[in-house]
Amino acid sequence: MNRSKLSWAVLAASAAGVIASISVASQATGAEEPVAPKKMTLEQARRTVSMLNDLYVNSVVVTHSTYVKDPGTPAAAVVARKVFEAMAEKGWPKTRWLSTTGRQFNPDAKPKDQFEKDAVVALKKGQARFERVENGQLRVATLIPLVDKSCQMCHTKDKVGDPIGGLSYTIDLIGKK
Amino acid sequence: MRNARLAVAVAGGVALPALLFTTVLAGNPATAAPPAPVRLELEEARRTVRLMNDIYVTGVLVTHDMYVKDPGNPAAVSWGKQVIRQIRAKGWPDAHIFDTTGRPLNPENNPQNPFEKAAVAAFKSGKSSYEEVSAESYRYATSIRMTDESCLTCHVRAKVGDLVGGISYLAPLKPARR
Repeated sequence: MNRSKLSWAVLAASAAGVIASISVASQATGAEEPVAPKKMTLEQARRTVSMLNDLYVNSVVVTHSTYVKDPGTPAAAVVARKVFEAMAEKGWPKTRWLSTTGRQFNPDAKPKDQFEKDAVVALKKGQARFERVENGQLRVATLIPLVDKSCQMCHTKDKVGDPIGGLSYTIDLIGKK
Repeated sequence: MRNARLAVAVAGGVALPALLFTTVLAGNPATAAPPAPVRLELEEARRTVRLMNDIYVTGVLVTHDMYVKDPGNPAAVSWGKQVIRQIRAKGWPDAHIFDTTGRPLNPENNPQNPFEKAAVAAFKSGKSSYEEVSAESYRYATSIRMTDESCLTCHVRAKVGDLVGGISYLAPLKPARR
């Protein structure tokens, strides 16, 4: 597949994502204001991240295997991003895609602060989970390696097993400033 | 190894690529015993189940909007069921999608136990959620209504706003402290 086809695929995926996000936001949240972030103890927050990571990673795998047959189909990661945004609006833990390669499809997946920059260094070494407690929050980054050949439909420059990215979570903690 | 994985994939009704993907991520052989169910305090069980419910419902809506353009594509609810199976296998609270109309598209969607039958009765009396707490477990159910006309692609006999089903959750609780 050539570069221009890929660009169109990414563009189409982004456009579809925006449309989906608008219609889902109106269905799922109505006219409600964003909810204040839900706070947890450190132990609960760690367990919640483990549950979320299992749920999000498995969701992406199922989405990809069920619906994504060629690079013209919206990427499973785009669906996940729409879900992350809707969850954050409801006050649930914030989640973002994090690229470790420096050549992410979406600029939003670049590391955004010192925690994410440090996390990228750890994930690139193959560390499965990197975490830190700072500013009253639990920050966690989890590694998602390039898993099999089906990923290379879009990730054409990476090999199976490469530590190309992950997810970055932020949860507010009870009683911490 | 490949044969063993395939056998598990067929038995679990899970696509082989998904299984390989999960296996690599978890770092476990596909033949390993599933982890024991996670037991939570009541407050955390309530919150976790609501978080899962928000993700499943939003995930089904986004998936439907992005991929399901006609009845020939797999329904978004089948996406939800596959994810639920994989999350159950990892020991997190279980979920079951059930019908409230008495004419489910799939017979396995009939209410499966007294809790789900009680939830159906609660939904029909106007409640949007229902819960039961025992010493061992927390059960929660939310209703599903037809949110807009896109649902009617497959739910041909329903109208927008109709109650058509629910999702029930089962979270095992930690033993109470004395």
